[in-house]
Amino acid sequence: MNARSRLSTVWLTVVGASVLLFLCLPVLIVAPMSFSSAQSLEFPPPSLSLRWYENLLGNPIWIDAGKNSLMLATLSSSAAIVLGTLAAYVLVRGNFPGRHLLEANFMAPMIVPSIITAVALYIFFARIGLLGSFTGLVLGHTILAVPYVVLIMQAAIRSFDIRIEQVAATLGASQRQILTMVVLPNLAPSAAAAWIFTFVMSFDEVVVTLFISGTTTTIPKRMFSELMLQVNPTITAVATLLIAFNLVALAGLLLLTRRRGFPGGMG
Amino acid sequence: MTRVSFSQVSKSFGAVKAVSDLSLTVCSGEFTTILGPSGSGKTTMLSLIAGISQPNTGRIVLGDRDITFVPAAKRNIGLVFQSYALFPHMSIFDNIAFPLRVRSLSAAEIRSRVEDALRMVRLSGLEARRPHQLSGGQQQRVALARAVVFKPDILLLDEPLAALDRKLREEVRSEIRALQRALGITTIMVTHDQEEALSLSDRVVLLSGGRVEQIGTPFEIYHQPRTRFAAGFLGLANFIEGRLDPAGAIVGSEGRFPCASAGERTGVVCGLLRPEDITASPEKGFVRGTVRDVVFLGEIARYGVELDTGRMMTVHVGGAVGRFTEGQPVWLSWDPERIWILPHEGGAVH
Repeated sequence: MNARSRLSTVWLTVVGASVLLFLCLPVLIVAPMSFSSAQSLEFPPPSLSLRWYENLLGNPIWIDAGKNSLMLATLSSSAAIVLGTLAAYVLVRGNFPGRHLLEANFMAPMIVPSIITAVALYIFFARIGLLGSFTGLVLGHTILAVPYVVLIMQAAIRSFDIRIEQVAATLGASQRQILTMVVLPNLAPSAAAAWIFTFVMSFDEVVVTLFISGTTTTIPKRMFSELMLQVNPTITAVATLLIAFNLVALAGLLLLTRRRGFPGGMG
Repeated sequence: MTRVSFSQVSKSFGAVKAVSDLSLTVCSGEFTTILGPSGSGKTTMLSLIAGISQPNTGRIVLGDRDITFVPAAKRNIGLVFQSYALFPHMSIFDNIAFPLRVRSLSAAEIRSRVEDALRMVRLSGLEARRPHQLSGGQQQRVALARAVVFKPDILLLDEPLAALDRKLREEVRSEIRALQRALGITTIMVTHDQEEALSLSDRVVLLSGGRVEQIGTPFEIYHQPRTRFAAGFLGLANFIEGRLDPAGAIVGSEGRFPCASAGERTGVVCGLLRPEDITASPEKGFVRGTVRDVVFLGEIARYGVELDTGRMMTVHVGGAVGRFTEGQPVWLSWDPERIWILPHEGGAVH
């Protein structure tokens, strides 16, 4: 019995470690390659150098794409937080006919393939003259981000005791005061987590962006077109920076969700 | 001034009638307990008074205001939930100050009233703490302070002691009573705990299936219940059914049980005899039986006695008086005055 359970523990460890290694493989290859001195993609790198980072940071096209990506992710995830949180509150606490239909509608962009969303947005934005505009791009990313915010915030609101809101009402607070003084402060950690999550999503998004961004360049879009033209190790430097950025964001998420009393914790 | 009255109030959830056609008046300054088993509609009544939900029919009047459809925020009612429902992100001071802040009182006024409230519940010095840093009893007192600091017309308590352990429960119980007396505030408590209801209230409203079973002082409800349900819900009861003998006894297939005159009642009745009103003795009494079951409860021992007629009686014996063991024959007797004829039972021949 004991020997068997020890064996299964060992087996589980081996399988787990192998899967983890497999998942990390791209990172383990890309990161060293970005510090390579070679002209082309070569692994293992013949010698170490920072030339691709210099190349990247010295290139106004990449800098410009980075600025656009940051701006786009900030604006779209902020808009999604506001809209998604309000929607989640109404969906959880509201009691009206068609609530489930409305909920399905909010979830749709997560289920519908992004290429469909991209085509739909392309046609729609072309009609109203937003195609190729930065505003259109922000709107597109907001639409993609809202379902995730609704999902996270619904969980958070559900786990927040409704009696606390009811007591606040009997104490004389208006509906708006309950929302601003009681509900939102308690949802702040979840909202921050959702914000980071959608920020990273927007930063990585490429399908919808390719369709509707026009001449605006974002980092993933630039990476894509770069790959089409030539294989340049600069791209490994970008990838490494993106991975580092994602790790920092993930750490932020974990820190937020580990806080005591966090409603609807994800960790 | 601040009496609460329900007139023909009904509330359904889908097909389930939680409260049906209920009329009731709670007097000003009194401590009234709404007592009932789960599903009796007591929590629904509380939420109707608090304004958390609205009735389907009927009217609720607070003082001389019809509050049936007044939103919770405009009712001026203090509410304490079993789960305390403190604001987890606020300090104790901010929790208690909340009702004053939403009423836009001046900072100085808020400070002095919160300090008074804290002193009242003996929590001065804990202003800066967060709710999770306090014990259950302390959180309960914060909830209480928050519910009275804005001088509400009535105070509602939802199972306020259920989450506390036994020793703490008694402490908080007397504190609630003292607070209610000191403020003279009309208080309505909802509970399923009969001991809580009997010890705290001026009046008890016993609910069953969304209807009022009986309203009365704790003494009346315990000693003069109107129905079997009322008698059985509060404490243990021996029900004695049979025909009333004018000579002063209830006579049935289970034996002859001496009782005092039952006023107007004749025919088949149902009498109530509490276990603590019965004396068990080896010497001859009214009925004979055999001890079948002994449960030692500390201050009392509970005996299950099987009469010669086959019926079981529950008997409480206090202290060290009369020790019996299982299988021992025993005589039971009682003061005939202690048999209470249930006014709303009997009549039909079984």
